[in-house]
Amino acid sequence: MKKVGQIAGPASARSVSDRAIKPIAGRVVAKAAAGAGAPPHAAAAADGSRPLLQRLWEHRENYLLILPMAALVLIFSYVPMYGIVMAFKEYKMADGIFGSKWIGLLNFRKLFATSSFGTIMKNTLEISGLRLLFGFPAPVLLAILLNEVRHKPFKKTAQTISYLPHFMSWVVLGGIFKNVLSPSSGAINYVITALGGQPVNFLNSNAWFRVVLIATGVWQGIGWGSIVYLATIAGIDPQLYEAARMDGAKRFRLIWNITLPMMFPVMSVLFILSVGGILNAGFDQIFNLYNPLVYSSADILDTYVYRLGFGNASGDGRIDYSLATAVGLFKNVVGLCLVVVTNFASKRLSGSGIW
Amino acid sequence: MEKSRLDASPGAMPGGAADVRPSDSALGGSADADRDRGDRNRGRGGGNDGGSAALGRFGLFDALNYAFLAALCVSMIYPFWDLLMRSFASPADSMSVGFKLMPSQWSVAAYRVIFESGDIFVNYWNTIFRAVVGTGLSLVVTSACAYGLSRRTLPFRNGITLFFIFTMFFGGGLIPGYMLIRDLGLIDTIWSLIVPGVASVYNMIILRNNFQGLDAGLEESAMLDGANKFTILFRIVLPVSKPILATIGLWCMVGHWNAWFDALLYTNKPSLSVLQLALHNLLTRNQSSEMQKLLSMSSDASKLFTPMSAKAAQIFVTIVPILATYPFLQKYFVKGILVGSFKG
Repeated sequence: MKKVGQIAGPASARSVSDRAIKPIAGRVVAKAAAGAGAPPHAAAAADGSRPLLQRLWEHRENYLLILPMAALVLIFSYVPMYGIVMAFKEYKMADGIFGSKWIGLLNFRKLFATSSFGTIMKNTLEISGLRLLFGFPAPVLLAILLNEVRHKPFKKTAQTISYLPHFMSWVVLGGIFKNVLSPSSGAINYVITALGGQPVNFLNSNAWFRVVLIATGVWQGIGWGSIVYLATIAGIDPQLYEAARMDGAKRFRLIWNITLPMMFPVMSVLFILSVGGILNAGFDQIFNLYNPLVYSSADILDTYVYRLGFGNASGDGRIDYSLATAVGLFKNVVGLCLVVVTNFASKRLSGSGIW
Repeated sequence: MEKSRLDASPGAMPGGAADVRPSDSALGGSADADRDRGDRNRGRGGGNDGGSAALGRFGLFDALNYAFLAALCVSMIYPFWDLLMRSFASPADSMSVGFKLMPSQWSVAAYRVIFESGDIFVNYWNTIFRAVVGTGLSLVVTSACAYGLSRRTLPFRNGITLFFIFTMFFGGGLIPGYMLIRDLGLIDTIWSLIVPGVASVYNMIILRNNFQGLDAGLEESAMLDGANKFTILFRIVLPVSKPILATIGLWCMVGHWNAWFDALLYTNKPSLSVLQLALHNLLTRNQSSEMQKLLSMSSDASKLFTPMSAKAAQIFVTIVPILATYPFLQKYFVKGILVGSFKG
């Protein structure tokens, strides 16, 4: 975290493609990036000889410009962090956050002791894992297939259509899939019954709900995810292909031995980053599709926190702000650790990370 | 959960570095990709075939490829089309089973009732208000901060950046966030949907990197001419950054249009309900007051409709502005993701 200045770093989309051109497959992304971001510090060093107060005064307008944003971030991001103490208290509305009784780690003990916690962790990790397994390669595949299309208008139309679901909220998509998957009038079940099968109630079935989650997740993200890969492919030097063609390579050889290896650096960084976000199993999507019948296969950390804090009495009952805060804290701390670890791994493997 | 909702590219990973050069042709999206590659590497114009595509023959692979991509596109469009037709279908048709490209009997009863009940205008107003005001405020606050932070000699620059970046990776969580909004007295005000999203760290970092990439000579010469820092910001830096500001502004708008979770948490009054929240209530609560209200209005035969077509119609009323502008704006969004999300 301490070298955050590097985030200013270098890699533009341009340099993504520039770097991809270098015909050294594995470590391409790496060091070229590291240098480019450095120059700013040289100027700062030369300036460093003058007294600090004088330099601060010279920058007074700049601090003034930063101030509103800093104040907002302080209020809306840092002040809630103070609320984390609720996780170690027995929060009572009447006493407020300050006045409520300290109870140490009791909330966490309570959390780890409940049987639902095991289910929820399992669901979160399994759903995220399945998303990685199917959702990660899908845009890569789509980018390769789109790149093989020579008819430009077709390619452009297909791309434009494939981005569309990305611009819809899951409230809208939830409504759309409830219609398509409806056991009485939905198109999917129409096909199933036409082929002689029994209609399936996808959204009420623990066996099918995850299939729906993964499939609709891929459906929504495939087009948008392919943009970065298409840009990477576009940056590959055509001479590589021509040289390989001279040597008699056919289409699949070209894809396998040139296109894929050239995409690998970008893929590895994106993959590592998505591993860092593994505790985010897709709140918006699940919240808009699930119902109490499928809690056992679809309830994740985020939905559990929501129901603990805002669940209505008719649902699964009690409101427990302290426990909900504790679950949220658990998730955020583990999530932060994962991001740090995966970023470290990313830097080690490919030479670049998010800071 | 809702933290990154209004960020430049909602689907993208949080992350920092991007040396933004929006005018760079490599950012022009994949549509320009082939031309770009041809120009840059070989100096030859069009006619550079995609990737490994062999010249000439249209083989089995091509046939399968086109068929697959066409099927994918149909799968993206059909669910929308099916719902659109159900929204315009007569009560009997709206519940019909299976594939039908068009209803046999048309009816606009669902739309009539939605517009006659009047709530939709309130919802539209709230959504437009939050989108316009939220985006405007966010652009002002983030670009001001980004400019300040882009000065390379600024003392404590790294410390201040860390102060911002840290919030992208750690936060108080759902409940403390809710209690803050409650304690600030923002519950059941439209500002609860606007103010928390104004300070988008992600967008600020993108802007800062953009400002850093600008030609320093431009500012120096203005400084020599006696311009002060604010003049430079408003007369030089912001005008030359219009493309990136427009992209971020568009993202912000879409983010606001699609935001629903904050509305679900912070607003209870129907007079503050945004489109997405109204839709959410209609879709998820079977006995929702919204649906009861609509159904109670179908008094005479000309206004008969099913809950199915009411839901479908409400969905289309909600997304029609996005559907209508999407074909024209999508290339800017593509530009946005290439500048913003991927840092390599």
